[in-house]
Amino acid sequence: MSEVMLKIENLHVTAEGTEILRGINLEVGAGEVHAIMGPNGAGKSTLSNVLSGRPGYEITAGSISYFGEDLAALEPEERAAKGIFLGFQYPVEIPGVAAMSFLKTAINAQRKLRGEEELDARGVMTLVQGEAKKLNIGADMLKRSINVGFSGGEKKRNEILQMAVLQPKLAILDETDSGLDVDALKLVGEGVTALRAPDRAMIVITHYQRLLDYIVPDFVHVLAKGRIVRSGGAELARELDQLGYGDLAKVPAA
Amino acid sequence: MADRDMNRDVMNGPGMAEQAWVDALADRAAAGGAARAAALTAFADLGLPDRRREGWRWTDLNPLRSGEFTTVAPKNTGKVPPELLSDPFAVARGHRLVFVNGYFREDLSDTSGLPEGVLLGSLAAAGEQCDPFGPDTGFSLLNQAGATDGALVRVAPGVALSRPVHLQFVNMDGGCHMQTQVKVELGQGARATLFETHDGVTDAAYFASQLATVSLADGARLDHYRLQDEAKSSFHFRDLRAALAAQAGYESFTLSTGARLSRNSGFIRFDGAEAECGYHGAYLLGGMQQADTVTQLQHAAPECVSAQNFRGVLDDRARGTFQGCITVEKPAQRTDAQQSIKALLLSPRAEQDAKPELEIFADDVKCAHGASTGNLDPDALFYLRARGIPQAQARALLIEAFVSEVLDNLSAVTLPQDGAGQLRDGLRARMEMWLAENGTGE
Repeated sequence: MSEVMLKIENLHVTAEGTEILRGINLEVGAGEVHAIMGPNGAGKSTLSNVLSGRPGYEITAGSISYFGEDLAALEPEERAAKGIFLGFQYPVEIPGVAAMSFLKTAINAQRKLRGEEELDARGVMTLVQGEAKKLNIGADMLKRSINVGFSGGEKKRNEILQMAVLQPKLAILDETDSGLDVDALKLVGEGVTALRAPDRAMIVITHYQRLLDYIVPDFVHVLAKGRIVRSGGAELARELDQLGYGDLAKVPAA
Repeated sequence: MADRDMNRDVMNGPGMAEQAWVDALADRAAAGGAARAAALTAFADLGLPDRRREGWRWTDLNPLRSGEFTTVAPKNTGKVPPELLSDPFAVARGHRLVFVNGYFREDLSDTSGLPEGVLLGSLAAAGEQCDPFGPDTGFSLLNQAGATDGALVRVAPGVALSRPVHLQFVNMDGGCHMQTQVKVELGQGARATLFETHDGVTDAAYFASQLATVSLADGARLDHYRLQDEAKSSFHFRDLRAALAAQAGYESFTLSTGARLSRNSGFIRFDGAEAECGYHGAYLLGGMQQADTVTQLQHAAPECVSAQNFRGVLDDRARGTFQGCITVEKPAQRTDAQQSIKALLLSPRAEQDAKPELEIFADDVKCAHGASTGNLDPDALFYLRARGIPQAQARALLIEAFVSEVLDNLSAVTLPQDGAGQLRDGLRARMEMWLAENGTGE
């Protein structure tokens, strides 16, 4: 197995007093793409939120180690600077902050946290425009306030653009396929696939198999009632698509 | 809505404080001609407003009644910090009038290269005063009785003042009052841009008051941008009376960050048809600061358009109050009047009060008003942090964006070349200074 990037051990998480994750174990190595599937309410989004450091969740047992470091001790911005990226299921609209200037701020905030030299406006512009073109994102969209008035597809493309520009080591894509039509799904799927790299891992969280036609995972895990109840290869996703989650959710955890 | 210290007013005998002012200003008023003397007499009768008076129930004037500020400010020929004197419009190279402690400082002012038909200078030197329309208030009367000087901007019909005018009021001493005036008259089709700044260069408390009259003839256009950054312990009261003739245009934006208690009061009257007014502002407050905004827009002529957009950012125990009244008189058919006040509360103890009022006597009008308060959106904050932007910076970004909704929409049509951009940059720089000191969170 390649270098272990993320190691989740016996992770228990509560939100507002309710236990949502009940003993997750997962190892993700560099270059790997893991799909996490499961029915609504299984804890998929909680997992992505906990990994990216969203306030409001409490780790009651277990650990998350990222390159050997205790992730729980880091602020969300520190995690981002260390290469963790969360693609939001519902990208937030922020009136008054233009998408381009947001990207510049984010790139340089991360570089600063890492002790690297900041990029000038021109450098950012070149980087962003190059990636935007691949995702069919026009200059006008970059001038608009982040996600304000964007269609569902535009919001998700914008997420992938941010990922492309920020070059994370571990990308967590939370239901990136939700709200996308077939064309947008293809564009986003291909955009993500283009970002696969030997030193980059991805966790793709999805309810449906269809995104995985474009982003073919190395591993598929089924999350149900806060635990991973089954793991397999890409073929597991197709099996789930045909049979549904019904039976799996009943299988007791190994 | 909680009223603070409501019962304290009752304990102070009304009249005593007013008498101290009257005594302090008696000689000045007597020497200044009949109008000043009459104003002082009227002030002695009317007095400073108390909380029982309409429009004043949210404002505690007891600190002003203490008698601490009845002395007229001394002339101060000291050095003004050079950073205050740098030209905010480097590209356009503006004209400048500087007043220190309420006295004109010719040595710091620059009125060279004025086009023909423009009078720009000291009101006192011109032997003039503001002659405000509208109801007298204790503050307007006190100012008329005691103003030391002010700015006169008079532009002849058809003349465009192509460079912006910087009106700069710098206060450098405490334990006194500075009363100034601004008198603007634009002839038919004339155009001008004013950038007005109020800065305090002392830690001691003072009381600054300003009466402003704006008179715009047919088709005249005035852009009027203001920055109020008085000393944090001071009091700042401003009273504007603006009259717009047919097709006149007036745009105003005030950014307030200073003063312990400030009041920005604007009375705008639409006398002629198809006049337009954008009357906007933002205040960024922390500590125990309070900023009052009072607007009264009186639509007396048909087919005029008014828009008011205000943003408040309140930290700690700061308080913002907004009282906005729109009157549409019977002849003012097809009026389009809009008013919006939004406040961002950064702390659980910050407070915003709002009282919109519409009085509509015409039957074919479009009037809209909205008031809202809220906190920083935690989802937006997390979104920014998840992209690597540290919490303090993310908060600052969201606060700036909140105010920018108004700032970015200023039309600034009279500013030359990159002037509008420079104006926004200048105001934004002040906002960033405030954010660096406040608003970055615990």
